[in-house]
Amino acid sequence: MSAAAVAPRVIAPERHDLLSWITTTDHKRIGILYMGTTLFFMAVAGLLAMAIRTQLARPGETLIGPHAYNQIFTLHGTAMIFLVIAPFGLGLANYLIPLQIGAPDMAFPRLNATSFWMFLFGGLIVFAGAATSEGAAAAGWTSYVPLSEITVASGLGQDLWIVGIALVSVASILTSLNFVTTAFILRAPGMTMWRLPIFTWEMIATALLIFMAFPSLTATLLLLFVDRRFGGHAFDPAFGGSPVLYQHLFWFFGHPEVYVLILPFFGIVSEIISTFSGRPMFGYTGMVLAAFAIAGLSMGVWAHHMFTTGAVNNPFFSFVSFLIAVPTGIKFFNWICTMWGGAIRYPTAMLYAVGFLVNFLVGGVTGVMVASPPVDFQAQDSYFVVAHFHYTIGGGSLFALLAALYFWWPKVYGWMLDERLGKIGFAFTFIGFNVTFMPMFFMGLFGMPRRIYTYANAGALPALNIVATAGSYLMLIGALLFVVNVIVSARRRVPAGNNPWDATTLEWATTSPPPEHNFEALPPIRSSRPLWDLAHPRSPESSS
Amino acid sequence: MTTARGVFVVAALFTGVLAVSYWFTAHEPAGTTLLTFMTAALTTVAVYMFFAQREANLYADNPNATMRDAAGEHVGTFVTRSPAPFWIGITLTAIVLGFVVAPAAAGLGIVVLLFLAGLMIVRSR
Repeated sequence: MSAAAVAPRVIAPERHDLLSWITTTDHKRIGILYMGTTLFFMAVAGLLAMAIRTQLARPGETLIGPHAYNQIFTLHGTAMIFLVIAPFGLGLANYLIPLQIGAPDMAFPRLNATSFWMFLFGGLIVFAGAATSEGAAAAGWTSYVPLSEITVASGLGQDLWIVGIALVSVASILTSLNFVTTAFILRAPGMTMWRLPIFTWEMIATALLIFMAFPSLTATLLLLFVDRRFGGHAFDPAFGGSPVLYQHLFWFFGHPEVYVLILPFFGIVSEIISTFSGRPMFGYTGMVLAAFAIAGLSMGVWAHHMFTTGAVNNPFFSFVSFLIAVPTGIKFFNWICTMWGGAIRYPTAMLYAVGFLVNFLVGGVTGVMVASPPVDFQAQDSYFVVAHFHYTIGGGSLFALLAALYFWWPKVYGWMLDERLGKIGFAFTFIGFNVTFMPMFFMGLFGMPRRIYTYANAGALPALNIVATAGSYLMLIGALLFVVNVIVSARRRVPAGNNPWDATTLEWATTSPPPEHNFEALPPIRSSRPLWDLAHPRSPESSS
Repeated sequence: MTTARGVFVVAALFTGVLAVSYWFTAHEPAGTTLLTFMTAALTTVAVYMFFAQREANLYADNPNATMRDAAGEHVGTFVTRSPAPFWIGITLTAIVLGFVVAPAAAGLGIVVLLFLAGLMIVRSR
């Protein structure tokens, strides 16, 4: 092995007190702060979801009133989309990108830390609305006008939602700037762009999407705030404004956001499937190009959320929406071909990755269905859409999130999570998820609209709802088992070693957890799998 | 850097084509404007990278480079701690909350933010 020292000088020795965490600019600590914060928000959003499902267990249930219900589903959706799924991907990328490319830190460490604090405070501001006299925002995570205009939502909660999400939006843009600059400029010698790990490529595509889409969100929120607080009329039809304009501006961000929520998790699943299949990623170039194809096409589909407005060109948006299935299909093909004939192992991380494939397939196929305007006209604002979206983001991203936790936990903390508890937790989560959301397809087809706090005691709806609620409690058990797993494993502290999974990317070349400067030494980088090359120098497949 | 620049060039071309085709199929101004702005932004970055590439000489772009090639007298330093980001976060929060509860108060926050930003620039030299 030929390796050279790359450790840069650091200004001071590493500290672990509270002040050191508040003032840190180390990408790994910022990544941990990001992921810890998202898990906190996920716990809150999960409890809100349990309240929703408990209220809907039976028709006519009076546990939650209509206004409180509106606030709860608004906070649940807002938290999961803006404060959990997307930021977890950003947090993991914060931790991993410098390690995967052999860099000592992010390109702009202070900006990186600033982005985190903006994200955290933005999230807390959104939830602070619940403490105001008229309660939190209640217009849904989309905050459609006129529901979010001052004439309908006069409380401070909606204003706090707007400024909180604006902070989160700007923080995401700044973080993306950091990712792209880091991946382009700070790669280790020999780490050419076409040797980058798939996860890093997916994060570059995600960052590009954030650049393109999030400014539209920030501008929309600014216009809405001016409408509410300074007498603007951008979205008020009585003064020449247009609610449809709000939908255009919002969904120009909103649909690419769906891919911001999923592309990082495609990267996670790619890394895990490749590792536990004992094979390089099938069709590496195809995977990278598919990620950018998805990112590009997702910028041209925003108005498929507006088919029923009658104010958009339905054939254009339907056609482009169908097209996205092609690169997504390429990814599925490559994942399956990677596993095909491989020496597959099934630790908990791999189980969650396979669970992702199954659930996301259901979400993707039903997505193609609602990309067809005639079907969408039937499914619009029904529980069918709720089921589709949750299969995509819940069954997709959330399962990949859990896979990532089990896969990289040993690297971050240096000790293993318990596999037996992990697999039991996976069983509860997978079964619970499908029992919760599969009935929702049928609820939607039977005409149950979303965002209602109760429903008629008629037909199959009561039976389907009680099944869905029972499934949600199975998921709750799965979540609690993860917490138990962390506590039990923290007591046992089974050492992980540098590379417990026999993985092949650079983050596994350093200690677990990595030192402040990331690497004492780097192996030669001659392919996208430098650790495999190092372990098999005489293999004809080795690039070194 | 060629691949990195290519990402932005292709993205700019794609969104440009999308903007034109959208206008001719939908004749809808809001979406066309958004796509046009996006194309302009991506083109700006692509043009910047075209010039930046002339200056760049990254060992990472050499497929046969080793750590030894990149070694030199200056190995660089990374700041691992700074109080500025936290206080900038607090100040931005105060500013946006100021706009909600008392817009005049937000002005004070902006002054503090400018002071902090200036301090950070001075300290980072």
